[in-house]
Amino acid sequence: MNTNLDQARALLPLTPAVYHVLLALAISEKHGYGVMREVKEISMGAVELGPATLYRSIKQMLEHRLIIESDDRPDPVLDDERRKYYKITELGLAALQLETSRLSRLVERARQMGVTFDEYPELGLGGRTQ
Amino acid sequence: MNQPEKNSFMSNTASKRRLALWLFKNIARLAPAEFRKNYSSQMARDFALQIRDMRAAKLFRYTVFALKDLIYTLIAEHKDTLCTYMKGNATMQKYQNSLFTVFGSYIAFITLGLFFNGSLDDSAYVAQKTGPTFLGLRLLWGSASEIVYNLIGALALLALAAALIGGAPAALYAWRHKPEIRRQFLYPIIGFAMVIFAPAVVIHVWHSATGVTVAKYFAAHVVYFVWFAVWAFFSAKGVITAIRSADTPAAKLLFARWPALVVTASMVLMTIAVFIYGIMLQTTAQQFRSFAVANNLTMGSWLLFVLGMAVASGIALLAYFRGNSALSKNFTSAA
Repeated sequence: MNTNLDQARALLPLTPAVYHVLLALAISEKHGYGVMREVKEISMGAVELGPATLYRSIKQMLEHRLIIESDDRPDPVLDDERRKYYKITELGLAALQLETSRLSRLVERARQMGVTFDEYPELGLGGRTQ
Repeated sequence: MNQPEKNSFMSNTASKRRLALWLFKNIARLAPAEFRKNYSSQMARDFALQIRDMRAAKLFRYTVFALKDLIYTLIAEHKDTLCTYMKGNATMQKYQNSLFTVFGSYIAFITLGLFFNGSLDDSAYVAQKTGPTFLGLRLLWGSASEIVYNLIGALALLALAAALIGGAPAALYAWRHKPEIRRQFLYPIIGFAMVIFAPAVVIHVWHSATGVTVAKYFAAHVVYFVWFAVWAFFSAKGVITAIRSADTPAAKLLFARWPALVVTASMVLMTIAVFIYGIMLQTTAQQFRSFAVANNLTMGSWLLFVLGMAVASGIALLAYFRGNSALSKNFTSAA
């Protein structure tokens, strides 16, 4: 696990696309289209991945062993068996955790510096905390 | 009355959808080969699924977004592919240059080695290197200096064999695939014949006409040495030019990695052995104890030989490690 953390730390910061894909795959393994839909849902419609960006990110994540192609295939009756399913690895999970921690510290720091969201209540980000 | 309008609207949107998909698929064809092979069908399928139920206005917006995204991605992928290629190419170039440096240093080294051997033709030195031998293997008996001398001989044979084995695949490739550069290999052979015969004839005629003196004999050796060195230099340059211009495949050059190590290690060991041999001669050969640079080996010429050999070995050693580290860095970053 320590090795995973060290390796994951070397990959930070993750690109927004990679972070969102990892987040989508942390829930369950998915094919590309499933990832695109999940990303849109978890970002509440704020992030829409284009197919090309998605597969470039998948290619990079496969190279860095953050994800792997899943051997499990769904029932061909229920799904297209040519589809490739991807699942997150231990290293991918470590990278996701580290990046989440980094981002939350960054947000906390921004709040401490007085960055507020009061002027934009429509963002629904809770405004200033202190 | 509204029905035909609705049908017309639907077929219009369907044709726009087909057009969007056609555009997407055809632009995706411009991707680098590996990316296209692995992901273009998946990208097109996901794009088709995304636009499946979109109405005309959203279809247009999404298609513009997806095509822009595709074009940016293709540019980034091509840039990555080019960078990887150039990095790999630069690494091979560095490695190839390091091999050529090892080879060039070896040629300089054997030139020195041959003349070092030639300078041992004095009776006192000959006594150090005579006795029964079998392919230079006389390490189990004889004096310490005999053992060292034979070790130098054995290492010289080993280095020669390694240089020939390491260079043969690349040289054969250049010979087969670039007939126009074959002369680069022929010149060294013709040059070698000239190196052997021409100075011998000149020196013989010169000696016969005016008689042999020590100064003339020494001068003849210097001329011969310079002549031989020039031939060795141009021969090595010819072989290197031929292999370089033949665009020799990486596999043939990578093969030379271990023979190059043997050549380099042999050069280092021979330098040490020549140094030790000179120290041994100091106690056994009276005429060695002079700093004059003369026809026969003296302490002065011995020091020059050792220095020259050390420089050649050092250059080869540095080049070998630089080439190897370039290769390992590239493999590490690729992994």
